[in-house]
Amino acid sequence: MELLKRNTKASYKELRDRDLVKLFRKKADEAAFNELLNRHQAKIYSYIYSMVNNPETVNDLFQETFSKVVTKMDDTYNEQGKWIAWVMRIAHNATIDYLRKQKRFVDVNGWYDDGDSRSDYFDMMSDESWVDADDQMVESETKSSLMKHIAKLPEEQRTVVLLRHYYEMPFKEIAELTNVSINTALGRMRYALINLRKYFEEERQHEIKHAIK
Amino acid sequence: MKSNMPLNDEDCIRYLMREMDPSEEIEFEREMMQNENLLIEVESLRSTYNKVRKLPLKETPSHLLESVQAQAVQDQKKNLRAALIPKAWHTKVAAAAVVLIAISGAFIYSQSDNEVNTFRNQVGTQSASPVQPWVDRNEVLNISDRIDENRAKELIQDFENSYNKLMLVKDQNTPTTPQRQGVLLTSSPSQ
Repeated sequence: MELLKRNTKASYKELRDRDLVKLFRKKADEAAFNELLNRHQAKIYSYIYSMVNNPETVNDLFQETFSKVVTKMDDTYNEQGKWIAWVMRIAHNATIDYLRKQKRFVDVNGWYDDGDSRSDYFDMMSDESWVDADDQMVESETKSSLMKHIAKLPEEQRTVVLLRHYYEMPFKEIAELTNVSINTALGRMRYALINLRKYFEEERQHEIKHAIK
Repeated sequence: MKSNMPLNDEDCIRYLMREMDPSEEIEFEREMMQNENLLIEVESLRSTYNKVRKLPLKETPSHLLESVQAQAVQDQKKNLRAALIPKAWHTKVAAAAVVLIAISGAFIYSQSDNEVNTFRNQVGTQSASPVQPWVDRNEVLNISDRIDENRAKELIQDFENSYNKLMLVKDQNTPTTPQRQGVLLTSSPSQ
C-alpha cells in the first residue's frame, strides 16, 4: 500500500474520495476522515437542513448519518461507486424516515417567519458574495423567500430539487434513490418548478397589494 | 421546416438540466425556434430554476463536526479490533477441532483393530475344531462351518471321492427284462 506510506497531512487534500475512504477503512485514519467530512459536510448538512428545518433535528440526523456511514462502510459501500452518493443515500433515508415518523410536514412558515431563527440561519452563511448592505438585504430576502417556498413544496418534489441542487445528482440516480422511474423524477422536478413559479408570483402580487395600500 | 421530434413534458426539464444528448439538444432547440409556446415554457422554467440555484450552502456547526469526527474514528477503530478478534477465535476453534478429530480417529482405529484381532482369534478357534457334517431328510450331505481355504478343499475332495465308492447293484433275483431294467447305486459293499 504505497498510498498509505507516502501520505502526509498536506497530501490528503490531493487524494480522491476513494483513496481517503480506503485509508479510513484500513487504518481508521483520522486525517483521511476529516478531509472527507470537510469536503462534503456543507452539502449534506444543507440537504438535511432544507428537508427538516429544525436545527436540533438536523444535528441528530447528521450525526446518525455518519454513525451509519462508519457502521455500514465495510458491508455495503462498494469502492467503485461515488462515496458521496452513497453517503447521500444514507442521509436521505435517515431524513425520510424521520419525516415519516413525524407523519406531518414541518411547519415551515412558523419557523421561517420567526425572526430569531432566520438571523441564526443567515449568520452561518458566507459573507463573501455580499457586496454592500442593500445587496445584502435583497439577497437575504430572496434567499429567505426561496427557502420558504421550497419548504412549502410536497416532500417528493422538494427531495428532487434539493438532491439536484446540492449533489448535482443525475436524474437516473435520483430515480433510483427515490424508487421511481426517471420520467417520474423528471416530472416531479417540473412540477416543483411550476409550483415555485406560482409561489413567487403570489408573493409578488402580495407585495404589490401592500405597496398600493 | 417543421420538426418531427416527439416532445413530452419531461423534455423541457431534461433540456434545462442538460441531460439530453447533443443531438437531442440541437433538435430540441430547433423545435423551440418553431414553437413559441415551448420557448416561453422553457424560459419560464429556466428563470425559476435560476432562483433555485441560489439556495445557500449551510455550514455544519463546528462542535457537531468535531463530535462526528471523534465518534467516527473511535467507531472505526472498534470495528477494526472486532474484525481481528473473530479471526483469532476462529483459528483456535479450528485447531481444537482438528486435534479432537485426530484423537477420535486414533481411538476409533485402535478400537477397530482390537475387534478385528478378536474376530480373527474366534475364527481360528472355530477352524481348529473338527467339522461336523450331517445328512438331511433328503439324504444330502451338509457341511457348514467357518474354515480356512485348505481345509475346505480337503473336505470338498473327500466329498467328491465319496462318489467313486458308489457301485452298480447286481441283484440276481431281479428279472432283467428290458422294460424293468434300471440302474441302482449303493454305497454298500457288493455281496
